Amino acid sequence: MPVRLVSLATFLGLILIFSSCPTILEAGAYDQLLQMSGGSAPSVPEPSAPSYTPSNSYYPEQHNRPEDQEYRRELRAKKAQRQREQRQKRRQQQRRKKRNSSRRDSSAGENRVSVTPGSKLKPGEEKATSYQWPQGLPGKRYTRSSATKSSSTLKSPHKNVPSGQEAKVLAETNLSIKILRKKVNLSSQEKQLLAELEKFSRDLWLKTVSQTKIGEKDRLKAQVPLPVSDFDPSKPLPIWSTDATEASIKSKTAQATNANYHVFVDALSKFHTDKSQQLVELIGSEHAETILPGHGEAIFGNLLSLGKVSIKLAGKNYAKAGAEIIDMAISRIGLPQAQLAVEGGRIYSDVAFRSLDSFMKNSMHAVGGKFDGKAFWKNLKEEMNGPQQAFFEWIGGHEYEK
Amino acid sequence: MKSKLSLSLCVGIVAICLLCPFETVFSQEPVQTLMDTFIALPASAHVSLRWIVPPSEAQDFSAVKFIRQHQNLGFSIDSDGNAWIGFDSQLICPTKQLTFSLSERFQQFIHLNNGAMIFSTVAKLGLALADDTRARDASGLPVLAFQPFAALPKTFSRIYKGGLCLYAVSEEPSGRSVVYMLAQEAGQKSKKLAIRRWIRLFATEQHIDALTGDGELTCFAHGSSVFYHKRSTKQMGGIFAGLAQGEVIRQLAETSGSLYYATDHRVGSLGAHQSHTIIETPFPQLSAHQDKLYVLFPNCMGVAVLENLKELEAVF
Repeated sequence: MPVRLVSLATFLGLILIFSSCPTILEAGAYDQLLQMSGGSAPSVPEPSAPSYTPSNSYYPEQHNRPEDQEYRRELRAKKAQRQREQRQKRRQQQRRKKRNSSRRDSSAGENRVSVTPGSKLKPGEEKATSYQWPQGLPGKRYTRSSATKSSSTLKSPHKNVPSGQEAKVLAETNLSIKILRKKVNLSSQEKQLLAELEKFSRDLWLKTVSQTKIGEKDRLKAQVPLPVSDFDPSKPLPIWSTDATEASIKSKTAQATNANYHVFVDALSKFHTDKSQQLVELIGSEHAETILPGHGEAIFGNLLSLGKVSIKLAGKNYAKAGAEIIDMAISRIGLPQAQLAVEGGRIYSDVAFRSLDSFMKNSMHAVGGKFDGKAFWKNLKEEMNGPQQAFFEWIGGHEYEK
Repeated sequence: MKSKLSLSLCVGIVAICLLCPFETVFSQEPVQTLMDTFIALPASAHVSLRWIVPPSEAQDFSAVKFIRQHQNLGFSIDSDGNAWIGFDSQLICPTKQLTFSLSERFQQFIHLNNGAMIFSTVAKLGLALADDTRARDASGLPVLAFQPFAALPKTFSRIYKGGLCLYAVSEEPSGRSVVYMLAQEAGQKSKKLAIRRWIRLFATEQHIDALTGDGELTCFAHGSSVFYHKRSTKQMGGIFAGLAQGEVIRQLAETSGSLYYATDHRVGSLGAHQSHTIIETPFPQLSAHQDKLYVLFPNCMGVAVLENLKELEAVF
């Protein structure tokens, strides 16, 4: 027993000795190193406890702060409340829309459920009795059948439109025309109505347009609805294909180069190639020279002959040609002389063309007094009424009198 | 005696020389010609050229501007033969001494044979009205109100003159061009002629560069090729233009059976038996009316009319 105790004590003592041994060995090393270097141990400050400053900057630790969590909870609650209110509002709106649409259907005679305008329906009842338009989809559009149904309510146009109401009535008429045109099979009564409305629209457009005090918005809205239709609706639209085009070109080119069909004359290109030397000389000279005798200004007007090119006709046996060779006169165009009277104001055109030039827009101000005043507008109106009347006649307003 | 005679002769010669203006005898007044422009006509044809709007001689006139922006230039002849030029939403008629701008920015304008002046914006078709507002724009020009009449068949449709009818060409996203027509028609019951619908005439698989017609016969150009379409028979065919492959026909004009074209470099005629270049000039603009061909030269903004063109056909 004592042997066991002694051995345990020695074992424990050995463990203690071995565990303290490295510290004993290393104890002097640090001091030795300091001594060797000839200095002292540097004073390193102890790290202080982290301190939080309340700021808006992001710290992950802030999420866990109880006051922030509370604040966030409040925010969430407010948001949820707002969303709840919005949802309720939306539902109310949808209910109102459904009620209105069911009323409209009942008035058109389509709805089987009788809904009185004043009565309130419970949501459960609505589901059971009327068709539910799925949520989230765009609103219900009128189908062709519903459009045709509503066309039965269209009336023939009023002949007497109060002044100032033309644009409004025109818009209503155009809408009626559009509704009628959407219908596929028109009854004879509807066809007559459409023709009447179309004529009325044209006449009303003329009446609207003739008003000088119409607002710009109404003016731009006033239009005649013209439909687009094929020349012959029973047959498909003829399409000019690439193959047909190429075949046509080939056949025509062959005909033209072959014989009597076409005569192609390009005198100018021939002139440029054959007579290039003479041309250079002529451009270099002071004025154009009349080479061709007997073809002066009496015949050519402002043309000044430069040269003559004789061209051999491609089709020798061409009956109308009469001769195999034709003389072409190549000319330059003479500018009108100052003393020659030319129709239209010479000075005016100079000024006006300058006004078209953006660099010279200011020149209009310099001569602006010329265009100012009532006389110019009167003249302009008188001049412009010609094309206007021609336009009105063209669209079919013969009976219209301004 | 002899010396007296010779002396008097000398005095006479000197007196004649002094009295007569030297320039009229020995030199001609220099004739100014239009730059970069040549015209070719059969020597026996009596085709004449007359200026109706004189070319601008203003020192500060910038011809380069109009040549560069020739695509924005609009040119049309009304039923009285007056030239109307449109540029930058402004309109000018030099022979009538009229100039104004429109309240809406217009894309194109045309004159029908009856004198109706029609404007097209991006989506609408209409006319100019001289109302009582008497507005003026920034440059002092009077502003006329644009009054729409109907919507174009498609937005960005281009309009073309066709006698008493109007053509509209729209391009579909598939690349197809569809040709519409607006013409007077009798109703199902009433015999009164009126504009009632846009008529879809035909479609092409290619881009249509230019178009003209008279309602029955429609001619259109694709690149350097010209084709026709007959409404009653629905017949289609090609017309030989004889142009180089790369040249694009920008405008077509039709008068009493003759067809005229304009490219970026030239003006030419297409007859039943001929194809002929008439004028070479940069970016000419065309308009035909009553057997006459009107040409606007953007390099001087002058308008000239070619008369007696029927003789061109007679020559060949």
